[in-house]
Amino acid sequence: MLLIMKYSFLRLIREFDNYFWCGAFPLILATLFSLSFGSYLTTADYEPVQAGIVIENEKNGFVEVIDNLNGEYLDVKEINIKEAKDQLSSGNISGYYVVSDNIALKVADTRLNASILSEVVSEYNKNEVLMEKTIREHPENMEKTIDAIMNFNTKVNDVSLAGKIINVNNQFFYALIAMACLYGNFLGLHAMVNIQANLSPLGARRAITPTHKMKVIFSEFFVNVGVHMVNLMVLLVYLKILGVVLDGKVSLMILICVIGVINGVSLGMLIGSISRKSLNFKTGIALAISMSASFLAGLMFAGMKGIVQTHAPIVNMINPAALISDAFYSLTVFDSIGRYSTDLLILCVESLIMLAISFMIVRRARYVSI
Amino acid sequence: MSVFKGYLQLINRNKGIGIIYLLVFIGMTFLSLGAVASNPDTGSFQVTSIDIAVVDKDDSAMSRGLIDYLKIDNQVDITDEIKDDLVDLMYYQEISYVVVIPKGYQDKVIEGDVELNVTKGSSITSGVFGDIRVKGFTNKLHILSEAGFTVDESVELAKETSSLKPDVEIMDIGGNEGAPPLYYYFLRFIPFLYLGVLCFVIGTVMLEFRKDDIRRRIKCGTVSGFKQGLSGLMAFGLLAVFIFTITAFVAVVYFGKDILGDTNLLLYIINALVLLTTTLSISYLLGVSVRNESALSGLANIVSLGLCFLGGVFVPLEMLGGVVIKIARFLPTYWYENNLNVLIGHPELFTVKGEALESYFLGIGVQLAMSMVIIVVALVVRNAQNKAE
Repeated sequence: MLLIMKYSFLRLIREFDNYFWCGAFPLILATLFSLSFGSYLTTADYEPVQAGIVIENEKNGFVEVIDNLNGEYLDVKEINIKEAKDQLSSGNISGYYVVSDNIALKVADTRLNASILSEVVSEYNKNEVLMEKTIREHPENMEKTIDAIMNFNTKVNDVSLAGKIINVNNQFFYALIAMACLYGNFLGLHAMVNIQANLSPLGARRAITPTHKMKVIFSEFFVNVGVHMVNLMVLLVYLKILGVVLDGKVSLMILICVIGVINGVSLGMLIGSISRKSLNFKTGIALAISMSASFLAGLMFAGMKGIVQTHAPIVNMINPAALISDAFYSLTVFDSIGRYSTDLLILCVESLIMLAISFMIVRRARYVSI
Repeated sequence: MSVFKGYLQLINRNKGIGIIYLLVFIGMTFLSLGAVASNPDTGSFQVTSIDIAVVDKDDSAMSRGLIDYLKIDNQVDITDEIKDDLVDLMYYQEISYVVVIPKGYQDKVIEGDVELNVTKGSSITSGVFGDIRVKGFTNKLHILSEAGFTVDESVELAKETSSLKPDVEIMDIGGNEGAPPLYYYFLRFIPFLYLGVLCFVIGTVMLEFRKDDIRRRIKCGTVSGFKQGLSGLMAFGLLAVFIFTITAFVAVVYFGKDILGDTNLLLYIINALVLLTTTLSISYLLGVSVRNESALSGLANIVSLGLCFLGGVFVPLEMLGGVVIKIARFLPTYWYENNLNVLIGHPELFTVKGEALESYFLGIGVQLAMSMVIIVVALVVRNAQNKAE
């Protein structure tokens, strides 16, 4: 078996292109991810809402309120009505206030920035009403009330949830690791094609040897898993350099990668064994499956896995990419390894089933003499 | 003509995988619509309602008042402790703001020494909006208690004032109250579909032409390398038109009158066709460059996902940083997405004219120029390869 593994390894190294792309593609994609939302991996700063203010009555107290809020929540500039309309049309500002005896707000849409502008006016109006109410019912406390309005502000502390780090953008990277694991299916696919006599000359050469099929399959399997693990290790180190949160025990992370790669290679072996279609077609199928699985695990949209969880939780339970990314998430966010273990157990069961089917298809294959 | 027919035959022979890719990418596009429609809170602007979870450890008149107030414009989940599923909800962006009302909240509000712990999701703007609401209500409770009102009166008055609506007028410049129509998202993801399908299918067909037998057979003929390249481009052009027709059909069936009634429909079509031309040239260059299936799947993914991530297909342009935007200007997907934003922001663009229309045609021009350059490069590479052989 060691001899078969040695030659499998040599073949894999000589077909360097296959191996290279399985490893290089996730690295390049990680770089692109990092470029696209690199700043969101750590902490992003709030950018004050851009707005304008048209002052028709300088005595209105709202002008002072805006001055106080400027720089914190808002970036308001005094402009005339024509400029305000132009800037709103061109999207340079989210809205503008017209301050006369009353305050009017003009916004371009109903989105959140407009809501923030609206909330500022709303709070001001409410405080005015409260003042009137106090003057009517508790005039003796007027001074205290004004002092509270002017000086009191509730303190809000931005904290992590129960001490847990949640950065939704990490979903992209966890899905990327999952995709990298599943890319092992290209290696598994080539391995299987090279075992079958009707699909490759090497397969034909191997078919005439008395070696047990199980030995050949497992040799190919172990070599491909081992070689692809090197790709995954490089990827993990690279992600760490990029600043992706990969907390938890290193050994547990490596275990996810090992089982993920086993799943990917098994999937490739299954695709390689189930039909006589060309290598091109099978590669297409392998790619379609790995891309779809990664897509559903959140490779393109961070919220995708949540949507699948809401509408079809069973898909997340069997999708290997979702399971791999969930295992990383559990490890990073939670202390308990219960969920982590469940994910890995399902991946192992899936891999066993796929390997068993591949073996059963290939083991009794006989070729007629022509 | 014979080379052209040869290309068509090979496209036909690979139609199975082409159809699979088409279905997979159309499926992904529509699932993405679901993601954006149900989860627009990805850092860009947002509708007024945000999803809030409140952990109420005080269970007092004032804490309940705060919850009632937050419920007015937002989706609120109430819980008495932080559980793992709350972490899940935040991670999956089903809630964007968590506020923990501490034990003794009511007493501290009256004393004027209240602190609240909050957790914000990925959208900082949603977080700020949540802060304004929570602070605003708590401040009012304190002001009212300072004014001499009882706890119950304070809560009632604070809630009462929340019904006051400011004078806000929506200019509705882009129509649809600023919210883009659903087909906007379909159009936004179209580059992903085009790039995905064309890169893989064209790459696969081009690989067939790299097989020794076929290459030698073609070399026996008298057709020049340039004409062969041109024939290939024409055949792939036909494939691109077919894919455009399919996607247009899907869009019309799914969005019906909404998209057909859009006053910018013609400009959307021109933008999509120009994108298709650019995608075609990129796919052709890719097909010329790759040497085997593994390289094809790797490069096709890098090209399609790279152009989509950096060009504003998956991550909205507003979310991309300044440096990334500068890089993105060299990508056709950026100009396509930029044009889409111009069209969404300006119904009846032809009548608006001015800066917006110029910006649209600049986008079209840049895409076409990029397409020409890429095609010339691809033909040069192909010729060089032929000569080298």
